[in-house]
Amino acid sequence: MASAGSGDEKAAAAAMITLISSDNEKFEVTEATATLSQTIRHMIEDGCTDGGVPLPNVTSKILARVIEYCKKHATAAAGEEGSSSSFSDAAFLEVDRAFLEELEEFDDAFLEVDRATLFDLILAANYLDIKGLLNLTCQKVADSVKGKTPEQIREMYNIVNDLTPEEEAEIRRETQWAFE
Amino acid sequence: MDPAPPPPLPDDALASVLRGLAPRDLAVSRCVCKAWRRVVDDRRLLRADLLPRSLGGIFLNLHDLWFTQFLARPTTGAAVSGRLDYTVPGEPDRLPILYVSDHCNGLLVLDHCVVNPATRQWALLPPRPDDLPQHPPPGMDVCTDEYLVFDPTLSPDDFELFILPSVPYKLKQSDEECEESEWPPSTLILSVFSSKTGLWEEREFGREGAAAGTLPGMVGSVRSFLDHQGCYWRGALYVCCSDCFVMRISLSNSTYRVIRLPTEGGEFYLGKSIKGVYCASLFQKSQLQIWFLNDECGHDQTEWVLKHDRDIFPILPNLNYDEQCDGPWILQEFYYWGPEQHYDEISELEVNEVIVEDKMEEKFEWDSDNDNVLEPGSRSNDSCIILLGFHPYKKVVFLSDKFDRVLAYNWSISKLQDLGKLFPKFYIEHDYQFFHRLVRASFPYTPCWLGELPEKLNSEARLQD
Repeated sequence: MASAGSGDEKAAAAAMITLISSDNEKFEVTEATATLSQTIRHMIEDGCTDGGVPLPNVTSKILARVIEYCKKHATAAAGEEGSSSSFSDAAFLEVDRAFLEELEEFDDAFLEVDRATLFDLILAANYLDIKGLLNLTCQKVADSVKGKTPEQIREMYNIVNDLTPEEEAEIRRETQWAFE
Repeated sequence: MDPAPPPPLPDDALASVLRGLAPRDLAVSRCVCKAWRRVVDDRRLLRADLLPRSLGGIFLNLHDLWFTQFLARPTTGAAVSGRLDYTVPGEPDRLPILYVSDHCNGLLVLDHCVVNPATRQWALLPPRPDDLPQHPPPGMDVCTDEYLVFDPTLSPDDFELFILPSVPYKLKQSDEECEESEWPPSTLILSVFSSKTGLWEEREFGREGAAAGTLPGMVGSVRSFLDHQGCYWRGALYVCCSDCFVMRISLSNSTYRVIRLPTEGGEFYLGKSIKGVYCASLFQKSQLQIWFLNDECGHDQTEWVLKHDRDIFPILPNLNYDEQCDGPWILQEFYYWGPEQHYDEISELEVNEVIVEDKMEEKFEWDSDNDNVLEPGSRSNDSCIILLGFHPYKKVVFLSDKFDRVLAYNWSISKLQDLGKLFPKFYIEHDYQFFHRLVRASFPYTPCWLGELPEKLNSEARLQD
């Protein structure tokens, strides 16, 4: 993408950022990995990442998974850019497709988590503003909700029903067609 | 104690989850808890007002006429035009036929495209396959019909088109004795077009239960009937391929079963109405029976329940208009060809300005003081009733009588209402050209303002040309 600043990019990729989870565990990641998060990108731009970035909303368990996701997707993005000059168009497309397939497989495997972890990942992706991860995890929840009844959804995600019976009856009346 | 519930998702994250849902699931999600309802409502994620929840009129195919007419129901909201020639841009002199072969939840199938007349979006269809995936026995031939499946509550951007064979008939010139075989076959193979892939494909459906009969024995059982009999209802396609049985084709599990029709002989109409699939039939010309297909009680117990049985001859009104005039419903007349090109233009402004009403149900109440509720009139013995379809949301069946008026019959209160005229002026006047005035097919139409037809179909189909 940026052809003029390749020297800067290399320098940026080498720069390391320290992320600190809510339970005080430290994770060293490259800047390229960390900047998949818009939240961290802004912190880097503002120059306030010295001494580590505390993430009081994210546990070490979840942060490790988030970093795993960011590493993979940062590498994939870098790989795609690097390959464009060294292959013919056809070969490039082939490599491109292989990348995408591999990434898809990674995403599928990444989502093999229990529901509590999935919710935690959504919370983290939302807080860290990582668009790809947010879309991925939200779609997973959306897929799991498809075709279910309100009772099944509540049970699945341990959601307390705070609607009064009257309110619930009213909602069902409003969109009767969906409950038949 | 139960484990503490996980922290609720922030509204933004929850909105990202819910945005991925189809209307039906969004409606269900509103019922989960207050936070979910708030997010759906505040961000207007569910546009139930855009779903097909009202009747917009009736599309009519007439004998010898290749252009579908539209009897439009008056509305205070956005008007829909039945004019469809914008789907063939730039060729006013060489228009193909504009003939609706099916309707489902607001989408129409024409020969060359699928079109949503409410949003005026349309998508070209690639050519139909030349060959049937399943050949009739030697010496026999089949007719085919097309059925559209579009369910915007589940999948607002996709549709499927099915080609269904009728019961094979014997070729006159053939002396070939055909081997005895079951019909429909134990594995039914159909050509199906999916807008997701943009391709025609073959799909197999395994039969549950018995066949309708055997060939060649069934050949004689086929009598004449309306061109098109069938409908989509909650994941299944109900298609009548002869006038003695219905095939219930389950799209989710690729099976089908044969259901006998409740009546034998006479005119009938199979369609959907308030609670599911209904069959209206006329027995001895004016004995109207309304049957409901009770499909809920498990596979083996599908049964027809008689909901109404009445000779409507005595209550038919005497509407012998010398000059056919519009009623409360306006017949939009379309003849696109040649120097006599003719169409009723409703103002472009009206069509383009999409004003969607907030209210879900419309004011089409039955009121005994209403002028249009008809008193019985004096009639000759010749009743000539034709069934035109069901109101999708009311206990109403549409029919026409010997005076070529379209009437609505409410079977819960046994009242008739005059809606409008059945035939366009040019169709009556040019009787040298259209000397058999008949209805070939009719489709009660429910406008849908939701969904985007896949653009890529248009560009791909153009490439194929």
